[in-house]
Amino acid sequence: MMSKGLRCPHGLAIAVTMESGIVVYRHVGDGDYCSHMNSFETMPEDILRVMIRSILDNNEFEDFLEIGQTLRDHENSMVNAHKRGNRFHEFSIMFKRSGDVRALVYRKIADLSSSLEGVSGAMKLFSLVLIVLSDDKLFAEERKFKALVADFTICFGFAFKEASERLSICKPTDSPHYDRMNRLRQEIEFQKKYVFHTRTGDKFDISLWSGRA
Amino acid sequence: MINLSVICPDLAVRITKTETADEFTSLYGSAEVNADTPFVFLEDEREGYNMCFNMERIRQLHRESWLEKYVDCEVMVEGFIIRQLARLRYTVQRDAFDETFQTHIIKIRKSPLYFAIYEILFSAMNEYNLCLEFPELARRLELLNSSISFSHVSKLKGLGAGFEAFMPYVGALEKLVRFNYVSDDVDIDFINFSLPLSLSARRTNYVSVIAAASLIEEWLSEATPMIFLRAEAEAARTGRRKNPPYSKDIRSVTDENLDEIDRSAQPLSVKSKLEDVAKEVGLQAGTGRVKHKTNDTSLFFLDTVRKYHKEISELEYMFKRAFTTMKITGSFDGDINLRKQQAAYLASITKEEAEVFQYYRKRKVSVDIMILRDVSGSTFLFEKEYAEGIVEILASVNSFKGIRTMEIDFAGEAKVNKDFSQSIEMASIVPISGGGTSILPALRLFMGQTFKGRRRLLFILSDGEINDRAQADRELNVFCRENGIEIIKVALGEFANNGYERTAMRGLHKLIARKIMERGVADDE
Repeated sequence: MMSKGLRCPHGLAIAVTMESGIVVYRHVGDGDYCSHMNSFETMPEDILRVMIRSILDNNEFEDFLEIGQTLRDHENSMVNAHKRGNRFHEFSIMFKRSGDVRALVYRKIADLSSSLEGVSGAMKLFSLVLIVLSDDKLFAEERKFKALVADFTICFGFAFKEASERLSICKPTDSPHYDRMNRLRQEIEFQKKYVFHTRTGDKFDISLWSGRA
Repeated sequence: MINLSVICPDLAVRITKTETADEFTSLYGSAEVNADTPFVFLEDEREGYNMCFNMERIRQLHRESWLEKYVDCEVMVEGFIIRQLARLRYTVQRDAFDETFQTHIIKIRKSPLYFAIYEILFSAMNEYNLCLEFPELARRLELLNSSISFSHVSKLKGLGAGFEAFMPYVGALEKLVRFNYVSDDVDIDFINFSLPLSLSARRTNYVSVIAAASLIEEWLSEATPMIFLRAEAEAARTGRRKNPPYSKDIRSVTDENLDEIDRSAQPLSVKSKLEDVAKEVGLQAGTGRVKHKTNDTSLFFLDTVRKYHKEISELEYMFKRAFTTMKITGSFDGDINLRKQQAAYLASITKEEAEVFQYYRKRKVSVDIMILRDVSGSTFLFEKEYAEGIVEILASVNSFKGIRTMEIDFAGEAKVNKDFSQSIEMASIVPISGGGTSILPALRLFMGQTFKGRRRLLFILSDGEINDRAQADRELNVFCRENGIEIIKVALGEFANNGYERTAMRGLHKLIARKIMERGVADDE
């Protein structure tokens, strides 16, 4: 059995070996058994959580997009066949699928934004979130779109205006991206005005840009 | 001979065979079923499940496989049946009226890509769980899988050029799941994403299969442009032009579909809950493998009494006849009453025949009834019948003051469910099964009891498959002979061995009546 290039949900290289007639998965680096690949009780949701943690902890998301370039015309990046494109797709799938994953991403944004050196990372991650949320395909699935925006509004809805201004997200107005962001902004405004979300559980501090004067 | 009914004991599946392909197609032919189809599986609301085999095709598959040299084609038929029953066993549709499940149903119908991925993962999950639960049956399935291929990749081929670009990915997933083989044909990122999800789906349950299939399908749909570029590069390299894969229609579930789900899900869910409530008693009685709550015992008891009230009353009458003894007491005519006394006096003068009256005294009933129930794994199919049998016997003697009852369950170990001093309400009698079959521990408990009844009956309810039977029989015979205990061995259900008499639940009271009559009713003294 081949194992070249295989990685586990933790993002570590793994080797596949037979031990006593059983296929086992070990981390190449330290030789430990991978807890998620060898477990008999791991559910897909657990795997998504570990995968997103791996992306967030290793700051992989910083390589997904070049912010200035991508936000203006991110469609090209969405369809590129580059290696990091796949990883971004995975990020997008996991983000759209799991509430736990979204909570981890929002938590990471809040944590990064609390320190001066983390602000850049927070901006990138925040941009990624906006790109996923303003995606045409997501908008076509109206129910999912509204549910995701509701999640976002609960955590960051009130920082959205300031953030989008700083990132020049809605400029220039002739960009194809303008309509998408406008659509997202309208939905957020609608939810802020007419939907009374209750914030439960983790409280995300809206200090996204506090590190920057 | 293997017992296939253990896979889905609560479902009846009719197996039919057609000898020729023509006969098969004339009966079941459709756009999807033709002479090359080995079998069809039909689910009819009125008829139930029906599995029909095209034996001509099966024999052909058998001839083409390596199995031909070693086993006959019946093994292949059994493999197909096991595979299909396993699919029924591990599909959880009950209480699954949520959006995820309904989305899955729609996707299966509308998205061939999703269907192919789901089938690969679901088959793997079935095989894995079957290996864990029924290793002997899983061997047949392994034989089948080793001799034929259920390739879902080939099904995508006929669905248009757009799907062809996905074929290497679906093929790679199939190899990965089935053979742990990492294919070079596709991007390693796809393998890295799919591998943990497919492992989780295979090792856990149906819900994980749906989640994993949906995630993998999403990965492919998100990566459609990349897949297209790869396909184009491949085409340029090999000189064969391929059509672009579809991307727009990949989202097979629309908001209209979801609205429809919402509208129908609520009534369905309510209906399901109502049905559950309505069937609650019966269902709990019938599904003995779940751990029963304490209240279930009385529910099961009452339900069984209600179900077999006629048999119980007949058995009660028989017991009354059998266990009630009468003793003639010395009496004089005058003991009767004045009118009878005058009639007797007149008769003595006129020398006419007159009625003669005799005094009997009803003796106190004194019977000990002991029941040993086999709750080993081998009684799994009929665990409900065994529990019902005990309830029937206990309920029929409940109204007799002088009849004492006790009940012991035995499997690997023995447990007194009801001793002589306990009332019937305190007994915990529910359908259970599991473990080995060893009767000696139960006999030790049984022999430790103090018997007081003048008549002593021991009922052993078992299928006769008892590991320590020889030694137990010896000890039991000696003990019963010394203590005047009559043994009645009964097997409920289909299986009976080693001297156990088989009967159905509806005939249990007659069997008991016959056995007791054979040994003689209580003699009048």
